[in-house]
Amino acid sequence: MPNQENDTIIELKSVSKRYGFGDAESYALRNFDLTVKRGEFIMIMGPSGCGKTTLLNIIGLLDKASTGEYILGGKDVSRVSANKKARFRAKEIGFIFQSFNLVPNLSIIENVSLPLIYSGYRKTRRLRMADNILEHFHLREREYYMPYQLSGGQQQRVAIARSLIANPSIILADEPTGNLDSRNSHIIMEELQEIHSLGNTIIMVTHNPALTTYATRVINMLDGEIDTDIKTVADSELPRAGKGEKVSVKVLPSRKPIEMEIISDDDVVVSGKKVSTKKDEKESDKAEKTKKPEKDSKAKKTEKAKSDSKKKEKDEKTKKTDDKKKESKKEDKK
Amino acid sequence: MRLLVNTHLHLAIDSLRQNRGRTFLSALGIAIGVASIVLILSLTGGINQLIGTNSDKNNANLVLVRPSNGKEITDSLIDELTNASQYSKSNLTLEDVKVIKETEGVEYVAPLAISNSTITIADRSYESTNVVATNNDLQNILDLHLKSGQFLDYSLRENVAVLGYNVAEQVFGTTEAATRTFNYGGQQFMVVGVLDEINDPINFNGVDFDNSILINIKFASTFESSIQIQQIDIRTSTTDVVDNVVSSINEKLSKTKKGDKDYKIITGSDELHPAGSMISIISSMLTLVASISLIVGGVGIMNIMLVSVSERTREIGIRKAVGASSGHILLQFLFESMILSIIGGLMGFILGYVFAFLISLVTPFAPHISWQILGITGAVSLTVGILFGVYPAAKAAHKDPIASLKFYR
Repeated sequence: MPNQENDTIIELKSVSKRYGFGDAESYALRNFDLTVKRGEFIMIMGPSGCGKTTLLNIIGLLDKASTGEYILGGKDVSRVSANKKARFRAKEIGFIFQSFNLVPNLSIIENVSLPLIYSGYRKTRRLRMADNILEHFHLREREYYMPYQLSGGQQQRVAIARSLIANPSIILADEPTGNLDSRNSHIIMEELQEIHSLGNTIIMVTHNPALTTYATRVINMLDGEIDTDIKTVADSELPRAGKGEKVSVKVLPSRKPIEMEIISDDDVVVSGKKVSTKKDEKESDKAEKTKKPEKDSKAKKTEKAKSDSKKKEKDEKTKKTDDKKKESKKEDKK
Repeated sequence: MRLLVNTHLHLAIDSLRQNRGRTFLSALGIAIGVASIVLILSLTGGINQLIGTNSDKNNANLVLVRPSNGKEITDSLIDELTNASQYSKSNLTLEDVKVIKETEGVEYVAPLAISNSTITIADRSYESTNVVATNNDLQNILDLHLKSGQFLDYSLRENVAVLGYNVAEQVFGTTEAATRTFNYGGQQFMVVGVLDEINDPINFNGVDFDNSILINIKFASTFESSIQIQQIDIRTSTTDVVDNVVSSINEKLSKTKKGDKDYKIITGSDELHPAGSMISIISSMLTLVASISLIVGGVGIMNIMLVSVSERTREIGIRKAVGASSGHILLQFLFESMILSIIGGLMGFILGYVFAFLISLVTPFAPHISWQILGITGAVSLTVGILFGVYPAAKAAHKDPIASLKFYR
């Protein structure tokens, strides 16, 4: 079935990553199998040193697996040349990092257009595309700011814009909220969720269990192997843009900005919803991040994390994503 | 490809702009090296021009045939400078002179057979006097003027001689030396004329005519066993036919000499004065020395590029993560060093000429400006940029993206 095959973006077949030789030999990944379907939002969790980042680097073609097979978009890329890997990175993969990783001496618009340089776009075209996507992220007025002139949250939104600009088939995020305060992490997660709802595939590494509510699938890793792998949304319910096509940057609709208004020290209004910052942080130190009230309850549920409750959650989420999808489609038609 | 080059050019210029001070300083290293080369080339060019205007007034239609032993150019250059070739064995014959004389477009032909020998007057002998055996065409070729008497005329009498100004003064004590006689090579010669003072000891004939005695070569060949023709001077009817004359002489001589390439034909005023080659040797030596400073400048660029690469490790990591291949990174940094050295080259070019003009204020010659010098400096600085930029660029290109992304400074 071509359609089904088309749905699978990433396939890792017994991938191992070994460091050192002989006595010093250790495995960051051990016979790791993973299949990622288009439209999934995967959160990878696990203790430090369990191989999360290595996994992300291998998926992102920055690192090479010691053994095993890696199929990206139907092509076996485990043995392609370094130049081809670079081309894949430019066109198929978007990276979001914990420390934003914007080039400090390039302006925001140049940073966003960076991946396009290596996909062979002309300068005017690059800047126009970057301008479009920055408009979507409501950073257009700051296009010619330098990264250090923006707040952490803004920088990360620039980084998200950069990861999207080349219209990749997969977005890899390595603790994108790790360096942000709770308010900004919330905004970033909202951005990621919207991107996901438009049909993009996201793999995200995080330490924060509260964030797993955004995911359609949560993978817990332990010592380079999958500990648990829970799908909260059925494959058939995954958001999709058209007939299994990637979401184009051009398809991204302009939408209301995620506005923040600080009411008091503890409360902020995000996109018209009142959010408490203080309460959350006190309740659990793991949950560094604020959420909408309805999401808060979800987060607590997740912490209890039992497959029974997950099913209910899944239903709720599916409804939500469906709604969002409809909304975006309506806007498209407009 | 063009797009790629364009993009990297922009990238390089942008990153150089962000470090103006550093860019200027590292370019300055190259600039000084290039400036010294430009200075040397423009000044020696100026000297050459000065000599050129002094020595060859109208040598455009001159053609020289010299014996050649097929040596390397540098060897013959040294031969020329030491005048060694003038006393070496020559394969040019009077037969060749006759052949050349019959060539179309040739107006005057004069062979020169120079020997350094003793002449005697009565019982006094004068050692090592230049005796030049030639014919009466020489007067027209070299535009020789007579102080008194007349020039060689074979039809008049065969054993006649024309004295150089100084010889006449020294030997006979007067420039009115006509009808005086002297002995040379067992023959008695009668002086028929004395040349005007020329005072041009460095010329393409290698003969100081003020200190020479001219005799008829036809007569000399009767009493000397083998006559050594060091040079055949040819003046063509017009400058336009020089090329034709050269090719037809070449053709004829190779026919008569049965393919032996034991002669060379020289034309053009540049090649006619031997001092020019002397100066070009000196200038090339000086340029070589000046290029050491260029190497120092190149090392400076390499140093700066290495610093820049390690400072921008994180940027390299980011670029690789968003899809730059090693080649892209290599090009980016290579372009940077190339632009650095080209900026340095331009600065040096201007600086060199400014210095040259300042120096020319106190010297009699003006600096020589030519496209060749600009070309040389451009090529040299580009080469330096590539040569010293490859290593840092390769270092940048081979950085591991994962390690680079973790890099904090």
